[in-house]
Amino acid sequence: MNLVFKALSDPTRRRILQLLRRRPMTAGQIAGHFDFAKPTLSAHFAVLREADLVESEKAGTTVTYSLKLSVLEDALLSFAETVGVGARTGGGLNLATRRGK
Amino acid sequence: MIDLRTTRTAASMILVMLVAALWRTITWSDGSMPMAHSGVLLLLYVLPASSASLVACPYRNRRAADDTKTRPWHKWGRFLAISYCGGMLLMQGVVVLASLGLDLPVDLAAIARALAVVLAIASLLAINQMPKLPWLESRFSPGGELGPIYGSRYTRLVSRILVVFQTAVVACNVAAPQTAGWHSARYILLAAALLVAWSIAWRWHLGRKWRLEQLTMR
Repeated sequence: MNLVFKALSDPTRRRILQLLRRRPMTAGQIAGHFDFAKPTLSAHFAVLREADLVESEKAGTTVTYSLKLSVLEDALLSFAETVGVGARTGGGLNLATRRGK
Repeated sequence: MIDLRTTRTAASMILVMLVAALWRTITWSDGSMPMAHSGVLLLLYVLPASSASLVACPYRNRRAADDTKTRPWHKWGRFLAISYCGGMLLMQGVVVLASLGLDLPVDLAAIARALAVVLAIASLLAINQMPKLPWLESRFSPGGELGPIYGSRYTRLVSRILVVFQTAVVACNVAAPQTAGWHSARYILLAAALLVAWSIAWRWHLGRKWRLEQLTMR
């Protein structure tokens, strides 16, 4: 459960999960929504995978991520999003998110 | 998706429940059961029927996939089927005892309510994990296939609503006064029936959306 809290405490990781709520996406498609370098995003994916919140499927060179949230984890995500957990500490990352896309 | 071994175990429990229900029906004709408890007779058949539907629906309901996708389903199905059927078997025992009208020093309605709470908690644990399972298309699929996008979305929404329903069942059983007896059971059954109807309608809607998307993509 610690891993889940750690994963959900970061606004960028929460944004990734929100994007995956709509449909499974490739790493490239997700990266298109952020201004980060790929290694930074890969680190976020690793945390999400470790917490068992996303599932990755590799087909050739493309990695597709899909959501793997339990009902409780989904509720925790909504709660963290509403309260804005980690928004102050991760404000820089949050600003980098391009919501317009 | 439930494996054959779990299905056999659950089926034997359901068989015991049916035998108990039949036995009670036969002995009921002696007039030993007061008419006020006639709803109990119905409950004796509703319990094995609900267990059977829970086991029969997921058994081989999902289309075969590779082992990595079916293994989590089997593990999940085993937990749900055994805990649900075991709990229902105990509940059936309590209902049979209550129907005999014996002068027992224990409050059977309170025991039944406690069992309902335990069952609901076990179901809650299983439903909570449902969206984590890989999406596999159902053999019985009203409204057609949902695809990986709408399939996962459907599972997520249904699980959320089921969690709310089960939490309400727990709250209802915990908060109900001692005098309430079996009164809440009919409301729970009605709500469950409505939930099934709603989930079929919602599935139909999503299936249509998925088909339309596929057509536009072509």
